[in-house]
Formats: sequence, C-alpha cells, structure tokens
Amino acid sequence: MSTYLGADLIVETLAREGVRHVFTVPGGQMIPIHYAIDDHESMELVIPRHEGAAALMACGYSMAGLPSCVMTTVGAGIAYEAGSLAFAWRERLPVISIAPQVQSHKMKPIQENLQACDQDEIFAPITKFHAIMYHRDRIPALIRRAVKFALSPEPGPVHLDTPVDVIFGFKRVSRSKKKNLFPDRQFRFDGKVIPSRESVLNAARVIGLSARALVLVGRNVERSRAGEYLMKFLSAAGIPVITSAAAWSSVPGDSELRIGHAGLWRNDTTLRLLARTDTLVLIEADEETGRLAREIVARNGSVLVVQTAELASAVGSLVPVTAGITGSVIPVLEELAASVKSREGKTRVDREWLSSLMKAGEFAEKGFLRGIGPAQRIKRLSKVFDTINSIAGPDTLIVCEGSMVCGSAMLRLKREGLHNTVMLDDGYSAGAGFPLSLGMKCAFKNRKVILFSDADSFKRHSREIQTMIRYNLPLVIFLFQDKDRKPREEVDFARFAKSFGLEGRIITDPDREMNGRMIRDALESPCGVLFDMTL
Amino acid sequence: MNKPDGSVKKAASPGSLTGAELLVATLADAGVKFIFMETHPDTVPVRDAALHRKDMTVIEPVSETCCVPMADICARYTGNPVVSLTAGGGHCLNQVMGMTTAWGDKTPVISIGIAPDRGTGTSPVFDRERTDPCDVFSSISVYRESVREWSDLRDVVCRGVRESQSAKGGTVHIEIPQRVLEESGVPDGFGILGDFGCFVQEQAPVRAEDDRMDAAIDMLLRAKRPVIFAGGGVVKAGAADLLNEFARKAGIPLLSSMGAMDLVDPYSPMFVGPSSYLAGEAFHYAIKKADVVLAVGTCFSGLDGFGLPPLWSGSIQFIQINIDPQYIAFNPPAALSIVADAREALLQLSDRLDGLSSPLPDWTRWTESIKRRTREHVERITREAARHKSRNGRLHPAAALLPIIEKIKASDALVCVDGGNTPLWSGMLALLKGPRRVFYPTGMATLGVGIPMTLALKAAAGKRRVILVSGDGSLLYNVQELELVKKYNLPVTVIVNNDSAWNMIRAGEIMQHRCVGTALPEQDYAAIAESFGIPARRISSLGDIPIVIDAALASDGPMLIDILTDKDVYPDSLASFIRVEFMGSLMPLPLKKMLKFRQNEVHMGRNTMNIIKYLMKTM
Repeated sequence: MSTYLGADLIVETLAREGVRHVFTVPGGQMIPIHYAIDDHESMELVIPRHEGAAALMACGYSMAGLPSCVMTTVGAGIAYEAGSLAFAWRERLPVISIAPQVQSHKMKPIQENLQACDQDEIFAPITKFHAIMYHRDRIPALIRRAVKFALSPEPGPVHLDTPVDVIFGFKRVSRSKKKNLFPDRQFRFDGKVIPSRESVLNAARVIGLSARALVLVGRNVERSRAGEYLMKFLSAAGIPVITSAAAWSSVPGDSELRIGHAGLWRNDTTLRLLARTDTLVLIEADEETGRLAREIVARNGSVLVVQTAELASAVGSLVPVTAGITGSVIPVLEELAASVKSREGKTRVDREWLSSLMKAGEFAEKGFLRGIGPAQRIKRLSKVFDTINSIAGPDTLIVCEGSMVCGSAMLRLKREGLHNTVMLDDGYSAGAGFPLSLGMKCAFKNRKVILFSDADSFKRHSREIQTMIRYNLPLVIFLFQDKDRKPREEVDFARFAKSFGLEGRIITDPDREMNGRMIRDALESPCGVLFDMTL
Repeated sequence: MNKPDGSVKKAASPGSLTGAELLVATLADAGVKFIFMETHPDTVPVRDAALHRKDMTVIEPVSETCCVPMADICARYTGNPVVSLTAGGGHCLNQVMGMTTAWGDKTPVISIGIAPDRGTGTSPVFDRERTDPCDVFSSISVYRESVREWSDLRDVVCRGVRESQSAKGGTVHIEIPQRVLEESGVPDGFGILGDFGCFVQEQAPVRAEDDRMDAAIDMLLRAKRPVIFAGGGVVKAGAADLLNEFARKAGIPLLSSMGAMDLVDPYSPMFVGPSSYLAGEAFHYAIKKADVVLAVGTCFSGLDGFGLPPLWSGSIQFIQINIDPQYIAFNPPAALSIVADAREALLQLSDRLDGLSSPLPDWTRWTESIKRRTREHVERITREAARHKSRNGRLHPAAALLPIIEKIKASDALVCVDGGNTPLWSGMLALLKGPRRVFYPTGMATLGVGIPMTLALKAAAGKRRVILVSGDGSLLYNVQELELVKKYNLPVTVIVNNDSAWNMIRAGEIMQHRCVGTALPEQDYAAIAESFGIPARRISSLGDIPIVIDAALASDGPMLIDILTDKDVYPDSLASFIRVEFMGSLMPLPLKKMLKFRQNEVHMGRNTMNIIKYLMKTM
C-alpha cells in the first residue's frame, strides 16, 4: 500500500504527461505539491519572483514544444498569473496552469474568505479548458483531459483549480489500484491529421493555374516547427511569401521568396499591388495574415483562395475559399509540395508582378521604418542586427520585443536556419520578452539565447535577473534606451544588473563601442551579460 | 451626434466634445480627481483631455499592472472613486491582479480599457484577440459594460460610478472602443460642460428601526461578556471616532475585522488588540468567551473566522448592523438584525446610552481579562526579540520593527504594509493609529503592491510623508516603480524586512520539518535602490535603526532602508492563520513530534515552543 496525497497525484500525473519543469511561486496551500515535485526524480521546480513571470517562463518553455506547467497560489497568486496566461491564450501556447483554491466547503459561492474569488471564472474566457478538481480520484483524469485540450488543434492554456483539502487529503492506495489510477495507456491522440487526397489535389490545381500567386503564412507553422516543409512547398511552387510577425522565423531571413512581413503591407498603395494576385494561399492564417487576406479580397473580389488549417472551422471563416484543406501542418505542406511538384507545367510565375512586388516591398520598408522610430535610432539598431548576423549561428535563439526592435529586426536579421527567432510586438501586451527568454533557455540549456528589448518593456519583469542568476540561465540581453530620455529619471540598468550579480555594460555610442568580439565574449559568458545601449 | 446612417460626424462644432473629452468631463463631474493611466498611444486622447483640467491629476506608472492598485489605494484614502485607464487586449487583462485586490477590499475603482477595433466577422482566427475583458472581470467586479457608441458613453460611465459606490461598492470595468474616443458630438440636453448636474447621488444615510435599537441596547445590558466587532463598513461610513467613543462610553471591549484593521484606536481604553488574529490569543479568548457581539459593518470574512465555530463560540448572540440586508447573517446567524448606516446606528445607540436611567453593568473584569492577554502577547514578542541571538548576525524582525514603529507613531505619516510575515509583525506590534492611516490589501493579501500603493498614497496625501514597510519577497514584484519615486523625488521611506525567504510559507514548511523553494538569494536591496538613484542604507545593527530612520524622515526625498533580519524567527500568531485558513491541515505533526524537533534544533525549537504555547492559549 502506498499513501498518496492529492498533491502526489497531481505531480505524478503531470510527470506521466511529460512535464519536467514546473514554474511556480510558493504559497502555503501548495507546500505538499512542492514537496512532491522536489521528491520526483524527473521533475524540477523553477521559482521566479512573480507569478506573471512564472506563467511567461512557462510560455517560453512551451514554445520549445515541451509540455509546460505553471503553478501559482490561491487568490492574488492566480490574479498575477492571469494577465500572463492571457498571453498564452492569444499566442496559442499550451500552458497547463494549476492552482490551489480555498477549502471545498468554502468556495462557490464565495463566503468572504481570505484570498477567495471565483478564480475558475477569471480563467474561463482565457483558457481552452478549466475545471475544479473537487475529488482526488478525478485528479489524474482531469489533468490528462486538460493536457489533451491544451495540445489539440488551436493549442492554448488550460487551468485547473484544486481545493486545499483535496491537495492535503491523503489516501492509501494498493498496487492494483495504483495501476488503475495510472494505467499504461494512451490518453490523447499523438498522431497527425492527414488531409484528404482530393482536397490537396484540388488546391494544387488552383495553385498550378495561377500566375500571380501569393502565400500568407501564420503562427501555427512556427508552432508546429514546419518551416522546412513550408520551404519545400514554396520552392516547388516558386511563390512569394509574406509571414506574420509570429511566423517570421518559419522562413529563413535570407530567402529570396520572402517579400517581407505582413506589417509592411498595410497601406493602400501596397495593398492595391498585393490585390493584383490571382491566387491567395493562406497557410494557418493568424490575426495578422487574416486581416491582410481580408484587405486583399476586399480589393479583388475575383481572387482565388486556397486555405489550409489544422482547425476545420477556420477554413473559409475569413474569406470565401476556392479550395480548402484541413489537416496537421506538416502533412498538409508535404502533400501540397508533392502535388505541386508533380503537376505538369507547374505554376507560371508572372515575373513582372514579382519584380514589382519586390520593388514595392523595398519602398514599403522605408515607410515602415519611418513609422516605427527616428531614422538615427533605426540606423544604430540596424547596425546591431548586422553585427548579430555575422555571429549568431542557426542554433542561437533570438527574442525581440517592442515595435521598433521587432520592426528593425524583421528587416535586418538575415539568419540561417528556422524557428530560431521570436518577435514580440507590444501591440497586445508588453514585457513578456525577458521571462519568455528565460523559459526558452530552460528548455534549451545548450543553446545560446539573445534578447533584444526596448528598455520600457524590459522594466516590467527586470527583477527576474535574480531568477536568471539563481537558476544559471545565461542570456545576452540588449536593452535599447531612448537617447532623448532624461538619464536621471531612468534606472541605471548596468548598476541594477550588478546588484543581482549580472555583468552590466553601458554602451552610449553603439557605432564606436559595439563590435563582434564583444558579443562573442558575451555569448560565452557563463552568467550572461546585459548591454544597456543608448540609441 | 450620430447621423441617421449610423456614422458619426467628426468635425468639431460649437459645444461638441470628442469621446475622450466627454469621458474626462463625465469623470470629473462624478468626483474623480485621479486617473492612473498606462502610457500607450491608445490612451493619449484621454490623457490630453485630462491634462487640460486643473481638477484632475494624471499619473502614469512604469507598468500598467500598477494602475489599478494605485487607483485602489487612492480611493481608499480619499473615499472617492478613482480611475485606472489602460490600453486593450493583454494590457487590460494585466489588471486582473489589481481588480481582484480592489474587489477583495470593495474599493470603488473604475477600470477603463480602451478596446482596439476588433473587426467584424466570426472567424475563429480572431476569437482570442476579441476576448472581452468584461468576461474575465465578471466575478471580480460589481459592474462591467462595453460602450458601443459615443452616445452611450456618458450613461455607462455614470452607472459605473454609481455602482462602484453602491452599498457594498467595489470595482467596475468599462470597455470603450478607440473609435468612440475619437468621435465627436454635442451632449444632448446637458448643454455646456458643468451643466451635467450631479448624477451620482449622495447616499442618504439609513436609520435603524427604533424598537430594534432598543432591543440591541437591552441585549447589551443583559450581556455578561459583550464585545463590539467592527468591520470595513464603519470606516466607509466615517464612523471610527463614533465607534471608539461608543465603546468607551459603554465600557465594552472593541475588536475589528481585518477589513478595518486600523479602525481601533490603540490608545482607547477599550482597545483589546489589533484587528482579527493580529491580536493573538486575546482575539481567540474574546470570541470564545463572548456571549453577545455587537457586529457593525462586517459580514465576518474568513480571516475573522466567519463568526462561526470552531473559532467563535457557538452560543454567541449576534446583533448585526449592516447597510446591506444581504450581508446580515451572511456567515453567523443574527439574534437581532438591523439595517442601517454604521454612523447613524452608532449615533442612535449612543443616544440611548445617554438616556439610560440606571448605571451600565461593570464589565471591567471581562475587559481586563482580554487586555491582559493582549499585553502578555506583545510583552512575549518583545521579550523574545530582546533575547534573540541569531546564528547569522541577523536581527529579530520584531526587534527591528519596534523602534521604527515608535518613530512612525510619533509622526503623522501614512503607512503602507506589504508582505506576508511583515504585516503580521507590524500588526501584532500595533502599527495602527486611527482609520485611513495604515494600508494593506486585506481581502486578497496581495504581495507586491507596496511600492505602487505608496506612490499613489503620496500623490493623494499632499504633504504627509508616506512610509512603506515591506517584506523582501514582496518588494521586487513592482520594483520598477521606484523609477517614478525618483522621477518625482517623492519624500517616501521604504523599509525592507529582508529575511531572504518567502518566510510566511517557510514557517508553514518548518512545522513540517522540511523547506523546499522558500529560501531567497541574499539580495542587497539598497544596491537596487541606488541603481534607481535613490539613497539607501543597509542595516545589520539595532543601534543604527533609529538614526537612519530619523535621517530618512527628515529627508526631502526618498530613501530605502534594507534591514537584515533572521528568517529563523516567525510570528507565533501564524498558528492562528493556519488554524483559520487551513483548518489545521498544515499541521499534521503531532505535538510530541514538534517537541522532538525542538530537541534537535534548539533555535528552531524556541519558535516551535512559542507556537505550541500559543496554540494552547487559543484553543
């Protein structure tokens, strides 16, 4: 007979679902869960200084494609977490959130208990699945279901509440009963959804007939790490491609087929040029490419549209579709590439249109850059990225945060390799970059991680430098400060970093002081380096 | 105004207002004087409109997460509704922490999100971007609404302000589309600004029924061991002085709930300890032995033990006075229920006492038996602190806090408290002096709001100095806001009880003889403050504390004082917390195992023995 606390059941189930790191901030109600994680041979606690940072670290970790878990305590703990879980919700990241609740007899309806609120209701609109684990016997099944929902098409966060009496309550379990609790069986589909042959052939036929086809690529290609397959399809079809910021890294920075990111093509002149396309191929459309597709169709009602999506209900939901394909990203792209390749005559690319697109892209770049910041700052920022191009290998992970930083990076980073850059525009939320980078470093211990961030975004979670040092997660951080700011009103980041034991350097003149060797040394530093750079 | 085809004219006409101007005018008319606003392009129109008004102060914290906590403390201090304004999407959803905290304390905070244009159509591609913050805030607000058109704006905001100030009051969330702020129109029927009239009516105080008041006095006179238990409703009604006076006149011991933790005047002869279990065993003794409890403006929260057994005696006769009938007998049953404004009810009770022909019963022995326990508790802590010999040269937190508290008591400073054990130590050592002097997020016990709250309090408090007493775990949550402290060179003092641990949780772990993940790196918080340009001192000697505090209080600018304290010391009344909150579930170790623990670890053992003694006194 073994004795299981509710906490043990939670941890054992998570471990069997593949969770290896739990990002958490301690709370009295979570003590036995932390004990159980500490006892578990394959699990590790990572404790940052803020629940929101814990959730964002879990987001970064899940970007690596690993099951990721955040645990925060009842009431204020989950309240701090919720804002960051909303980021996972919007970004389609399968983060498993688990939190204690007050005793089951004190919750729902609330009884004016300390720290008690209907936390399941806070999470309901920003999670794919939420539940209260009222009884310890349901813990394994509910966690499995939550993980399944988190990972299924259109991934996203899930949340489970556990009353404190269920966490602390214990039960003696015989060996046979334990087997029933944790049967050696599968609890979720882990295969791929294969598209129907007919739908692929139909799409290939439409693409094959086009002369001015255009591909728009969205976030899920990046999440599915399907860049290699996307490139095979693009090369086979010879079609120009525009990615959203979220999918920027699914096409190599130096690819000739890339005609920029969706943000470049927002004004009416460039949109009219795009609208000359005869066939629009929407691959896993997201918000950014979805809007662009609508703008194009609004200007050209006769355009043929091919749409592929993992989620069946997304096909045809944005614009009327000529040929739709439902299936997992990789098999869809594989089959599409094969079908396009095997077609006689292949796609006839209108070279004139292609070259006008390229020219318009260059023109759009200038306008775009004017819109994101002063020329001098952009120039200096670009120089930093030029230096990085010669240093960062295909394995180096780069995270960019802030509209000016991302805008410059998307135009200047010419990187080999795929899925190695994350762009975080601050449109939806700001400040995620640093904890996200720490989470990625946690998942990819052997890869170098560089964070480029505007200083204002970084400030929000700057305290996590302590977590970076404590858990030995060395990052190279470039912070960009506005030269026009009054220095006395700003934190001295180099000094701030040093107070945590991180090497901090001030760069007042990047043109003179920045060089490749400095960055190479920083990448080799065992603790990481923070560069506080004035633009 | 809207054209017949639904479009809105953009051109300004005489008397016309943009949505942003209309919003600011409406808020000003409703008595809003402070807006805590995220710096974001979407909030600029409102900021510009607000900056044109002399009666409106706009403060922009570094992180939008701090907007609501700042509005919260400002509303609690001024008693008026205060606005938090952020951009939409994730920016707005980052307000969940602040909203939950303010909701827990029933503070009239109006949160406004500027919603981006979410587009039309029903594609699942846009579903998540379109998540409505009103849905997320539904369980942590008393009212939420999305403005659809320019013409709805004023009505929605007016209703929001009214609801935030309803009987119990609380948080409100309003979503305003960006386009509505840019649209213009002439407010129908209201003419020029200033003719709006007062649309937020002062709530007429509700008087109690006379025969019920007579019955209440009758019950109190017949009681052998009466207690007054006061809640946040008394603070809200501005009746703290009346309550203290009534308790003194009647000779009845006075306790407060956590929601009114600074209500009771510590120098009142009827004061039997700080609020709730901060009073230690005195609180437990009083609520076990009382036969009649006059409960004013409280609904007995979890921190107060719900007014129910096992903490409270099951035979107590409760006289419950509340302005909201829904909150009468919310937890314990009422022997006598009275719906009334706390102030009015206390005046009525006071009049009746004055009119009594016979002398009041003498409850001195009863009162003294509680006060003796209060004294013994504080004396025990002080004694322990004095004889503390740390193995690592660190100070006893109580020993460090005592001279600070004396200095604070001698000033007119306002105080924010942040942390886990830090508020407990502060509360037990009576860092309390009248209503609206000490601020702590009682309902949710949220960590990390100390710095933003201190900033906002300073903005609202004029010339009065503001002091933050914070734990080290909580200090880093919103440390970025020190930038604002420096920017405005605010004369605030930040005191850090630096025990290098999540020590409230660690104390719970020590009772189980095992600590996991609750130690914090030894951090120099003075160095962090200095990186913001804020003068700071690190203290490891008791003798330095009064000198440094004097210097900080005399300074025209900010100062941070990092005091190194011993993590192996924790407040014995934590056992109350564990009894109340976890029903003992954190204490599976039997007493004899705890005693064995004592033999193994002499230093820890003293704490454990204190806990055991404490438990024996409170059971």
